[in-house]
Amino acid sequence: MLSRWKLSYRVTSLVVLNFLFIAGIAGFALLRMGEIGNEITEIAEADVPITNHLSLASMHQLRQVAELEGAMRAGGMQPTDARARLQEARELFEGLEAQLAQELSEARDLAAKARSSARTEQDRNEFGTVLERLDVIGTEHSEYRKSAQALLEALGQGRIEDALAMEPKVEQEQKDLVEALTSLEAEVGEFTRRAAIHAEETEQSAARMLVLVLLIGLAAGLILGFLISRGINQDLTACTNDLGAVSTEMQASVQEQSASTSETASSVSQTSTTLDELRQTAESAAERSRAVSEVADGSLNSAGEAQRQVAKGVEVMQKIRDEVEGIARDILELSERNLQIGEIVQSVNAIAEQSNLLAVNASIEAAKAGDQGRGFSVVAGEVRALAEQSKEATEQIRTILAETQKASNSAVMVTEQGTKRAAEGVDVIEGLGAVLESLVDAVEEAADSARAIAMTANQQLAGIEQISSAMSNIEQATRDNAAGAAQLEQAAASVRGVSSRLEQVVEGRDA
Amino acid sequence: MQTESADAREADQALLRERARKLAAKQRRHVHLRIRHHVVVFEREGETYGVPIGRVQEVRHVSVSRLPGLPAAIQGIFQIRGSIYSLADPAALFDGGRTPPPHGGATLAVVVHSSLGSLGLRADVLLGPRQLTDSEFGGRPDEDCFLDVTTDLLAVVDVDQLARRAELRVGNAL
Repeated sequence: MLSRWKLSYRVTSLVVLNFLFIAGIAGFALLRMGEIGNEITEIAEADVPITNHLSLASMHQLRQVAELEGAMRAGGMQPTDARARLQEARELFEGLEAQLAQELSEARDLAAKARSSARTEQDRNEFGTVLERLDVIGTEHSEYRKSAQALLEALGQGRIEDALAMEPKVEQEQKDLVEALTSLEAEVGEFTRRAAIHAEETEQSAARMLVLVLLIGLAAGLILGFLISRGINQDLTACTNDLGAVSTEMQASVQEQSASTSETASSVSQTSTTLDELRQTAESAAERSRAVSEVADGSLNSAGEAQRQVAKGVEVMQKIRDEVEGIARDILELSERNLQIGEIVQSVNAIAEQSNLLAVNASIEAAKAGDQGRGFSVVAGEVRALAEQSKEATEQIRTILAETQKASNSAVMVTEQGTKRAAEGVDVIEGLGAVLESLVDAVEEAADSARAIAMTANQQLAGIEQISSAMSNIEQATRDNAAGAAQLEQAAASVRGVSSRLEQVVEGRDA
Repeated sequence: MQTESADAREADQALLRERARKLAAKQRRHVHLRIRHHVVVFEREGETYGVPIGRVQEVRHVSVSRLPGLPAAIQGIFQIRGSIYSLADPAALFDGGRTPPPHGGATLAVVVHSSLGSLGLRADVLLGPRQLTDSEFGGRPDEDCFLDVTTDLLAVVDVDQLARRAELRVGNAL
């Protein structure tokens, strides 16, 4: 069961038990010593003072007796001498009487006090007996005092015979009183002696008990200590073994950690180098990002300018388209005029054709008429010539009209193409405007992205610097860890040493 | 550029002067030769025909009415001043094939007199009267409807033979 307790509990229990044992012994000793002290106190405060008072009372009584004897002898002296002596004896007697009464009173008070504070019934009985004896002594002393005073009175009055008659009684009372006092004193002394003996016995008993309890406690402490120490030893041994194993593992771990720390330091160094390169790259990237951002801003401005130019171009193209459409309308009108001219020319040509036919018919008739138709033939020839000229003219006009129409058609086609091209140009320019707008948007996005990239690059650079700083801290921490690992290794060695010493302590071997 | 156009105009003028000179020389030669035929020349389907002017009644545009059952050479009839004439196609008569009938507006017709009556000859282009001299003719034509054929392939039409052929065609068709 003890093995399940904590070591502190076991040690504490052992200490507590020892303490309780010691406290028990101390308490027992104190109790006994208290008893002894009480007894000694009783002896010192009651028995001895009572004895002293009784002794003084006895002494006073004896002095009273002596004075009374002296007074008796003074009775046989010359009256003048006797009177003075007697007076002196009476004064002394009275004085001793007072002292005796005082002593008896004090003895009585002490006895009463001792009885009230007596711890045992026996002591109370004893002190009760002392009180009773003191009362008897007091009574006897009163009677003696009366007798003595009567005797002294008689002596004072010169009644020697009365005094002599009273002397045996007084002597008897004196004797009784002295015996009583002596007896009481002896009894009190006996009582004191018994108290002392009891105290001594108590002391011896206490000593024996103390020794016995000490031996028992010592045995119990030894057994309990053996059990606890054995358990502690076992636990300590186990802990020592575990500590040794742990220290070995610690050492191995520390060595691994040292190796790992070295690798980490190497990696950190490489990482720091890489971070330096990365920082340089980031700085370059940030610089380029800023340059790109500036270029993007410039491009944005250029795109905006291009957009404005495109808008102008659209406006111009629209104007061109309108003008081309106007030209086309004019050309179409011209073509229509040409068509009208062509119709007229066709009419003229038809007239010329008819005139030619007429001339031919006239020539035919003239040829049929022979010589008489010669003039008519000439006229017909002239008419035919005119008709031919008209036809030629109309043919030329037709040719010119055809060329004009062709040119007009070509112009119309060109204008149509121009209009189409203008429309296409407008569409293209509008498309270009849309593209430019999208380009402007893209350039804006690119500018925003470039700015964001520049900002990100700066943040990245700041982050890399922070990482570099952190890597420096890690490197420093790694060095500290390496130092700590070395210290830990030393500590593990120390632990192993402590474990060895602990084992030695537990096993009790020499160092 | 202006010097180049001036040079071109000068070259054209020189060419025209040379052409005129040659034409004038040709006319002078033409005056001294005997006139064999005086014809009215017309073109039909790329062929040039000449009808003796004495046989020509008139030349005019006519409106042809197509009649069913007629031969291909007879492309219809037309009327002039209340008289009905048939329209013959020289190309169909001489080639024997079918030519597209006249359509649309007026058709140019050379109205000729023959021994079998008057008929119209369809023409595409009227070139007008022309006097043909002996120097313009070569050998005799094989076609019996042709009186002569000039060196420039102008066929002088025998109107009577042509009318007979047209009548034969009409007779065969009937």
